[in-house]
Amino acid sequence: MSFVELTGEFFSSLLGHGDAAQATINAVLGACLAGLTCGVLGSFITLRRMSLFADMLGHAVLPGVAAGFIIAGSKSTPALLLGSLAAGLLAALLTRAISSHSRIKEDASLGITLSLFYAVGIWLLSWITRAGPELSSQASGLNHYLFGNPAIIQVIDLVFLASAAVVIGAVLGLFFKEVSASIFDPSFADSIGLPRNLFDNLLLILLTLVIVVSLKILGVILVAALLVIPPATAYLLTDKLKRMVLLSAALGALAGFGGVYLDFVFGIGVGPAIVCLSFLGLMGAFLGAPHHGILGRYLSHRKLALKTLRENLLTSAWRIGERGGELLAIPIGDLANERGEEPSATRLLARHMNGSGWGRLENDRLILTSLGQERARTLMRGHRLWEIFLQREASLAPDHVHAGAEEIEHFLDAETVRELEELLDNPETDPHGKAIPPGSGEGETR
Amino acid sequence: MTASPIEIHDLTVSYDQKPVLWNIDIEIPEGALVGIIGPNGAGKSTLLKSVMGLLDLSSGWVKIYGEPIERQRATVGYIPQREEVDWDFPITVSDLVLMGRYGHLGLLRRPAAADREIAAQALEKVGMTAFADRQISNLSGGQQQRIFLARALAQESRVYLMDEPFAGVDATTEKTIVKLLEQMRSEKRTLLVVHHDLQTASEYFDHLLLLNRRLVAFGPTGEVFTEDLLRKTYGGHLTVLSQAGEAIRQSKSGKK
Repeated sequence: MSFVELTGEFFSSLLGHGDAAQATINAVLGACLAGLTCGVLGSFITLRRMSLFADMLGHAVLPGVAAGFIIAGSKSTPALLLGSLAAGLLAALLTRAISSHSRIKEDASLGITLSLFYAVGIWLLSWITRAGPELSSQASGLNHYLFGNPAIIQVIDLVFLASAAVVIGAVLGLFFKEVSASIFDPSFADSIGLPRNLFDNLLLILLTLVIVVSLKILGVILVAALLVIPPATAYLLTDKLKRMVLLSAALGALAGFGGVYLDFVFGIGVGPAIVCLSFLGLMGAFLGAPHHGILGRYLSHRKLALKTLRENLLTSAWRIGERGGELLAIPIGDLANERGEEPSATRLLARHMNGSGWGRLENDRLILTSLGQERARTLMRGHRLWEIFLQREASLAPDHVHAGAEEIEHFLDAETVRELEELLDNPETDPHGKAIPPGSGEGETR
Repeated sequence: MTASPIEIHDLTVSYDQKPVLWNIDIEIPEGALVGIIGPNGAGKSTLLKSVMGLLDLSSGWVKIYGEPIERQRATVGYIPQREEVDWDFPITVSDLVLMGRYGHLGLLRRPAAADREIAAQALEKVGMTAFADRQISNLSGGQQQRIFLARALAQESRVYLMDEPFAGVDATTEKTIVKLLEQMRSEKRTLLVVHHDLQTASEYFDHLLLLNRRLVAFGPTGEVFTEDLLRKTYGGHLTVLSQAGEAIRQSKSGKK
């Protein structure tokens, strides 16, 4: 079947009846619920820097799955869930005991429990296959817990997933302000008497819970992805915790849905599809997030560079005007002379003035608007006040102050300049004996 | 007799068996503006944390208005050092200040309009209203310190413990903090402030607590800010002593 046909079949089975359709619907619901819940809890987990706990717990529940199976003698869902819950909690307890009662740090302690529990899990699984026909005949399908397989999601799994979602949502909703304060500022949280340790333990219990119910979707190895990648993506996209939680939940659910769809169409496995999709989302945010993305940072850097370049042209122009030269329409040659560069270079730079509102390149002259002149005056005033300040307060020699002022002039705001004026008693000349342009305050536009 | 805001009795605190504070015994009078000074490693922050009940005490006790801290948490506001928090945390300035109300709200209750109003006023007092909706990492060190102060103000406590509020702040922030301390003192609040600058210590505080693992002296600034006691506090730290000598000369020559 072609890609389009498969897509059509996928969506029609979401609305359809019958066993095959029901399996697809269950898979989609399960993956979305797991993504949603992991997204919500993962936001707190990543901010609390517990991401590695997610990875550890994912691996550590494996012996619990095997033990649950051995005790129940069958793949009874409640038995396997209880077994893995117990194993996860035990592993969390052991990790904290090791790091808090010895000099071993938490990351090493996580590595220890992860490998230990996983090893025991593998050992138990191989024991099951050799345990005689009675047990091993029941065991086929246990490896779904290793790699995940939403195709085997049944209504009882959905009930557990939904219950976990409700519990986690309720707990985090009720204690939202306490948990967020404890993560953000531990000392302050202690000082107002918040039981911070209790919240840490609560997070670990909820984490184990969500991992246990999500196992069949993603498997023990990949389950951490849904707990880390969507929250990390949301973290790049917003600066508000509530928004981060909602966004992360939405991204997680979307990844779940998309994962099942991609598996249906291309047969690449739901777990890998969910992880790769989530990572694509993360890459998108990494590059394109408004404030924290590479692209956004690059653009604001470019904007600043352009402003600096324009302002440097303005101060060069001002210096020419100061010596009695033409200020309103400066020949590029004069400007290049003042700046000690080739006219062709200056001409190239001067083109960037177009669109600034400060001036433009016209007939090989730089034409300044009144706004541009005003800005030039403000810049020179800041520059020279700063030079005096450096010389007086930092005891720098007059020939050392120019470079510092050259950089700072672009960042002096009106308030700082007023402070400088006050501090320096409104001086009239700078350390080089040049006049300080009088301030008129305005021109601070771009 | 009414109980003092902070009474520390025979306090000893150790880290890994090594005592960092020895036999501290002080009673802070109501409404005092106290500067805690002493060399690095003197246990200044440890003292504040002990009062706050954040550390296990080896011996002794601390009482707030005659009661253990656990029963007086709402009475005491604590400003940790700025470095102790994650400034990349997704939270806005106004939400951070609102945290000051959490202690009063108790579990499960959400901040009401009245709490938001108190937080907004606190933000105004430190001159940071314009930054209310900013994410906290976009702030300068001084601005970060000011919103920490605003959060403390929103706590409306009678006693405040501040850990180096003047560390690494700009001139504007320093002025704002000094003004706030003065105002809080005029409202009869009791303030314990860890301070590292001897030059300004005698100017900012009406009481000084000289600390170097043990209590060297505690009393009104005029009585304890002497070369002899400072020498005892700072021991062989010569550069600090010459600074102190200069500060004492200035205060004696009547220059404020």
